[in-house]
Parts: sequence; C-alpha cells; structure tokens
Amino acid sequence: MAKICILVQTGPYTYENLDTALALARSAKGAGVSVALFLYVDGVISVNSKIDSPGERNLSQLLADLIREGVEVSACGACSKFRGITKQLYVDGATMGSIVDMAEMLEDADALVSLGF
Amino acid sequence: MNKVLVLITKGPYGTSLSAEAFRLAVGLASMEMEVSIAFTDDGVFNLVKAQAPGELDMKPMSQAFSGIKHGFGVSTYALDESLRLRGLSADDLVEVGVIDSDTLARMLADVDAVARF
Repeated sequence: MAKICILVQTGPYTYENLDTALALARSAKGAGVSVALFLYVDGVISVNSKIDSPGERNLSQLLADLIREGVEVSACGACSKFRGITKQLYVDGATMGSIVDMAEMLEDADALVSLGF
Repeated sequence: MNKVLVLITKGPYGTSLSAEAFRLAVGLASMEMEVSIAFTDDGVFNLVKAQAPGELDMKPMSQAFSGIKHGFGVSTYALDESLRLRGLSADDLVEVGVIDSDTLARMLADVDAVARF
C-alpha cells in the first residue's frame, strides 16, 4: 500500500496548514493510501485535547477523529515540552515522539508533504 | 525514503526555525539517512562567520552548521544568487559549498524528500 508522510510545523488557526493536512490525510485514506502525520515545532499545539474553539472547527478533535480512522499521528516530545503540552493533554491515540519517529515515518513513506511557515 | 534535503530559507535569529532545521537534520542523519542542507534566501545568513548572539542567549548558528558535516556527515550548500543579493561572498561564511540554481534544481530532483524551513 502506498504511504505518505505529512509534516506540519505551524500551529492551529493562525495557519491553514493543519486543515490542509487533515483534508489531505482524509482524501488519501479514501484513496487507499496509508498516512502518517508528524507534528513538529508549533504543530504540536494541535494535539492539545483542551483546545476550545467556540463557533469554530475544533482542530484537535478533528485530529482525534482522524486517528480513530487509522491515521498514525506523532508529535515531537521536545517541542511539546517547550510549549507546556504534556502527554496527558494529548488527544487519544496520538504518540509523543521524537525525530527518530519522524525518520521511521519517512523511511516507510513514498512521499513527504512538508507544510511549514 | 532515505535521501532528504533540508531547505533553510530563514535567517538564524528571530524565529526558532534554523535551530529546528538543524535538529531535524542531525536527528535524521543519526538514523543513517542521507541528509544535506541547502541555504537559500535569508537562510544564507546562518552561515555568516561573525555572529555574536550572546545577548539573545543563543549560540552562533554558523558554528552549529560548520560542524555538521564532520560531526554528522551532513553536507551543506549555499545558493550563489542568494549570497550575491545580500552582498555576501564565500569569504564571509563558514565552510560551505556554493552552488548555482541549476545545481540546486538537480539536488531537489534527486532527493526523496524536501523539508523546508
């Protein structure tokens, strides 16, 4: 099965990158492509289950939905630590990872989609 | 995928992006991936020798990037056009390969993945 790795470096709401990643991941899954998502730098903010966005899409919940649909999601542990996002705050199913996990995702993937600043 | 190009387009201070790019390059290289770095646009300022960011409580990025080849086997390249537009020459920089845009294009086509910062 083909596999893509998506790297998101930006935080939610300020940039559209996570929305793009979520839509791309969903489309890829629908087309039978396996997806791994790595959240790096400010991207890790999206994994915070305490995100509350009255009247707006809740991006961490959408991320959790995606994990339930079988997308592998890992967030950089060091980046999380620097932003006060503990593992307890992570949405269910997301892994606290490292560059090693990113490397393994890349090795397994056929293509990388890098969404940054 | 095993061959990755990290593309650095932003200056060394003001954002954490150069430091994060450095961290990603070192992490991937430690996983025995073939990693190179290309500096373009303001990214070439990362290579300027005379950096003294002590007052920012940071270490010189030029020092970090100058040691990355010997320490981790990561090759570094600067785009000549970006240097010219900023009044910089190879003499102003730590040791780095200077390339033209045709060479950069070939490098971009040759790798499996590009992570842009």
